[in-house]
Amino acid sequence: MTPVQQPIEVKISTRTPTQIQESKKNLMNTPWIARTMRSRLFPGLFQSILAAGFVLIGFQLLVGPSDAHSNFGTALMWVLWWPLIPIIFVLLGRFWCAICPFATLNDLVQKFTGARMAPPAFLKNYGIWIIDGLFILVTWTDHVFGIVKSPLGSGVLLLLLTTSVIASGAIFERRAFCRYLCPIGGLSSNYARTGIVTLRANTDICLTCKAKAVCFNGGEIAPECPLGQFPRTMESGADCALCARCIKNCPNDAISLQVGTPTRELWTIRKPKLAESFLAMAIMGIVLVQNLTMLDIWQKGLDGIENLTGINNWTFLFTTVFIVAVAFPVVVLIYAAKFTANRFGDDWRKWFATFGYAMIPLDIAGHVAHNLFHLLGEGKAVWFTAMPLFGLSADVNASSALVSTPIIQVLQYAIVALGAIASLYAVYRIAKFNALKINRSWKVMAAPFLVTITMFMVMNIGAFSLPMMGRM
Amino acid sequence: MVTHKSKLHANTGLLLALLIGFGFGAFLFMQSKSIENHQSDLGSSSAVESMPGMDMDAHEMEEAGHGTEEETAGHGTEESTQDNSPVALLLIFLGVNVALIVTGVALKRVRSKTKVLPRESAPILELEGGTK
Repeated sequence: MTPVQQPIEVKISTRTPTQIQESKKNLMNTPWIARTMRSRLFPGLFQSILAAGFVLIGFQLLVGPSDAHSNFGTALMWVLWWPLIPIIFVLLGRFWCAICPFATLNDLVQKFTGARMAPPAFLKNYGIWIIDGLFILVTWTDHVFGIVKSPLGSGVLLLLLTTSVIASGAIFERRAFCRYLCPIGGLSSNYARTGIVTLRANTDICLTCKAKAVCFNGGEIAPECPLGQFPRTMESGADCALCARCIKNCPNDAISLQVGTPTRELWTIRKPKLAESFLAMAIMGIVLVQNLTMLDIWQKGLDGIENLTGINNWTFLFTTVFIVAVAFPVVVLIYAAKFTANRFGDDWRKWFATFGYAMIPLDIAGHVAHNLFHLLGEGKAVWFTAMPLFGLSADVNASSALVSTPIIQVLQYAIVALGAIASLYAVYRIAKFNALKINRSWKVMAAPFLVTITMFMVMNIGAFSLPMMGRM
Repeated sequence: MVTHKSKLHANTGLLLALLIGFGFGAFLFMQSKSIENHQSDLGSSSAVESMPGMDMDAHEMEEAGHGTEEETAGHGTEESTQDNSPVALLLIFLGVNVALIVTGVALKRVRSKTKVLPRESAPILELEGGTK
């Protein structure tokens, strides 16, 4: 006789939406934050400052010194902005997208043209894959054509982004480019899942709302949600820019800004998407390539391949290594997912998509640790390159490092370890939830993914332990 | 009511806007070419003050206490302005973007003359007491 399985109760929260909204964890209960979010100057003030900053960066990149070492735009863009951006994602979710100068441009163009057509279906269905492809393409282009090391190259990248944003703003509604095409938007949407601050609506109040979805469609106070989110049904911070438009529009003050456990969202995703997990693994590969190309062994390795094969075409060799490196984490996760599929049933794609999200904390850690080297190891380059603009000259003997290399390395190890712990915990939670549903052992389900995380953690730490070359 | 005539007008408007936009882009491109030629005729090149430490070789850098290569960022070898004039690039960029904006305006006119469905509709709210 087959034992009758008892239904498993998944305890999510015993608190009502109203209790959650009234809790201390709701930042909207802090008067100055609430005032800021409802202010007409938010986020416009930040947008204006950043837009001015990006105009300066663009100007410097295009007409400033052609040598990246001396270009203020290069220093601002690649030593300051790019390393800081993943940290912003962790702390504030997708908030960067609310103040991004490209988003501001999109809104401006839309205001004047306002064709506001709905994005085509293929963009909605395959937008994430396009983002995946663009992200990989931009990274490849950087190495092959030297975008980072060429101010003009970086300038052209900015112009191309600007053109894409203008095209999108002129034709499509809301911020179609940010949501479906922007590589940084894709990155931020993935990383924002680990964010500490999330926006939620009090569904108790929303049930009685007569305001005709003013939070989604926009109203007299603020325009529509730029990323097409409906706060009442929103479960993820991936597509919320924290722009506060819904907060301003809501006539019932039903929107709250919750401070939650970082990474919690990773194990509560109801509909995991293959493309999003693929992006997580591709980023892992990209960070590995970025680390690899900054090491001494990179050139030695290329020389070795050249001697072995007789191929001396650098682009070909790099492209081959790049494809292998980006595909490697994806293939490893596929094998882990197939292992789970063999033992627990279902298609491997399901397990790939489900557990791929757990890799995001390690992704972020690798990314932040890599960029920490640029930020702390070359941070003074921002100052050095700015000085000539004011008629000053830099100290000849000064180093551009803000702190010494050993300190940076210790910080890198700590960040990678923290990321790995968060990833391991996410795997534990996902495995426990899925294994309990079918009364099986979570340990067996989690094992291949725990091995995967440990392997990539060791690889990252190994790369950071070796001396690296700077960007500037 | 969408009529054949209004559709025809809208499409003609769109085509005209596209032509004007891309024509403007092409005009700016030609202008940029002539500016480039003019600049090369003049043979103008601007020199900018050099950065400190630029004339030091690796050995001198090490002696000066710069340490490893990664700690010496911000000290280029020789500063010069962009070799390729960005004027052409900027003008092409400007032309293309003006064309895109004109296209957007034309599309807006098309949509205002033709019957279109409402914008991306709000999620349906059918729970008790909810709004439609």
